[in-house]
Amino acid sequence: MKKAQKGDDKAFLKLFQQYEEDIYRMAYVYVKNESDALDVVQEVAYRSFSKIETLKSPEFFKSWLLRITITCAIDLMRKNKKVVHLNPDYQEKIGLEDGDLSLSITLQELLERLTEHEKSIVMLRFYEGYSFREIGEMLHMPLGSVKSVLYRALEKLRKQCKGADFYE
Amino acid sequence: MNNIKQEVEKITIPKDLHERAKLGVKQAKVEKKEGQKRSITKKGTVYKRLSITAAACLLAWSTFTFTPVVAAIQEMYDRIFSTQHIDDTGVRTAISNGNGQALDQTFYDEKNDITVNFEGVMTDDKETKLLLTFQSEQTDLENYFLDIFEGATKISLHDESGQKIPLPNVGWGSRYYDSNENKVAEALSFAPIKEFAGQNITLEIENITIYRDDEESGEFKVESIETVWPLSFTLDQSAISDRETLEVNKEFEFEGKTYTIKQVEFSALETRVVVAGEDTKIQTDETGMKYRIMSKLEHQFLNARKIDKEDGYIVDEKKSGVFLKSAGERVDPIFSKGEVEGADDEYIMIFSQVKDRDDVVLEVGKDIAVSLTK
Repeated sequence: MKKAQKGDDKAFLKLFQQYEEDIYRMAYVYVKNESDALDVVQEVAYRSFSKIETLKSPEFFKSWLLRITITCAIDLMRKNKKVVHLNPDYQEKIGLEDGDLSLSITLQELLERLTEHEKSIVMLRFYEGYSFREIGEMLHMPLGSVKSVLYRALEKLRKQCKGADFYE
Repeated sequence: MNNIKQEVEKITIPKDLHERAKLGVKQAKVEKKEGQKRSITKKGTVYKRLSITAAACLLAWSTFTFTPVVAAIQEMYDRIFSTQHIDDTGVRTAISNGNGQALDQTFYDEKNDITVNFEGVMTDDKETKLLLTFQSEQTDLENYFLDIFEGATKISLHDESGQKIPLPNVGWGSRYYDSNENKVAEALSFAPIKEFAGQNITLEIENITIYRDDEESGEFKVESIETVWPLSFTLDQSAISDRETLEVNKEFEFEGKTYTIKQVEFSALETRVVVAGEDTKIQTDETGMKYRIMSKLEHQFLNARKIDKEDGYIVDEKKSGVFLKSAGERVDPIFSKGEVEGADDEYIMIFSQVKDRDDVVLEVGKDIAVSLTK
């Protein structure tokens, strides 16, 4: 990390590589297509390497990257104007790969039904496994708000995914 | 435990993922070395210049092909509104047909050093289009948006009695930033003002929305600047066009769902096809919360949508979608008119103007074709 913070690009990329799949998937949930999600990854790499020296606590490298990912993804969506709807190509790809249509619909609902804010919290909680407190710190939100937004998001998803237990 | 993690892991990882990360780092490294501050305008500048040249050539050709009257009206508008940079084929076609009231009024926003040129207005029973450009010598306008859909910008009308009437958005509108001239062209899209024909009215655009990257924190910021851009004029008949509605009531089946085409609406700015189906209805949950799910037809409609960084929402020629055919020619969707709401059970698809209102066919994918007029 010290090397990376001193501007060693190879050291930085080694660290970045550990999280790039998470960054890509996180971005995809927002932008919903491969091309834009890859643009987000490139932008996150650009911004994070440009600002790496400002990261005071290296142990928060991952959460710092994910926060940049969220802002980059939302940024791209705004630049492209509005929300991009799920492309049916993606649905086909997922469905065919897994041979499980019901689950692909669940993923689709996750992508389609939630607001940007809800997605951030659902992804950080259930995909990344952060605690409510950590999410609150990352997104600069009070603990109570994190919980209520998550609850609302799960309510929405639960309606689409009968039988699936969305609660811990 | 829930299955969100497993679901998200189904998003397949592309092979060139790490290469893209490398590219980002490389870019930052080069800029660090050169001590540059990145400007978003650098991206695609060459492409932009080329497209503008191409558009200028196209226009030079097209003005010769129109009648002198139409060409004269067209001259009133900034050329940019006739190019592919405005992602609303309805506006482009309306201009080339000589529709609309030319305004040609200029307002100078001294505080922000912005010169606003109101170019033209068109309205009917369902929407208004206000075409304007704004330019500045001092203020970088790249991130300046008149976003009345979800930004801080609002538009309202003051009628002759002085009453202020807010005008909500219709779709998203179109915007293009020309970095060479530091000029923004906006085709704002909002509620109809047809009923004010013959009146002296004032349209007021309030607040500029700014979407920008914060260089320090790396975060995306949404900000606004308080300002008012007024436009006073008499709404002339030339701005107004009629909308012709044709009841269709035809059914078709797509991917196991039955849809009824309720009506088709023809206007000088667009063609709307109003559909109701099993999966277009507004849903209500047990707590009373209302929500809409995306219908199979909407998925198909949006399948042919492509986002171009320069030209906004365009048709992806490689994909199947939903199109109209009129007089043997394909009529494209206007994707920038997204999220236009109809009645609770309806889904509205908006296309460009048709050539022949007596010969219109709705084509869904490759296999479904429904005549809307016979």
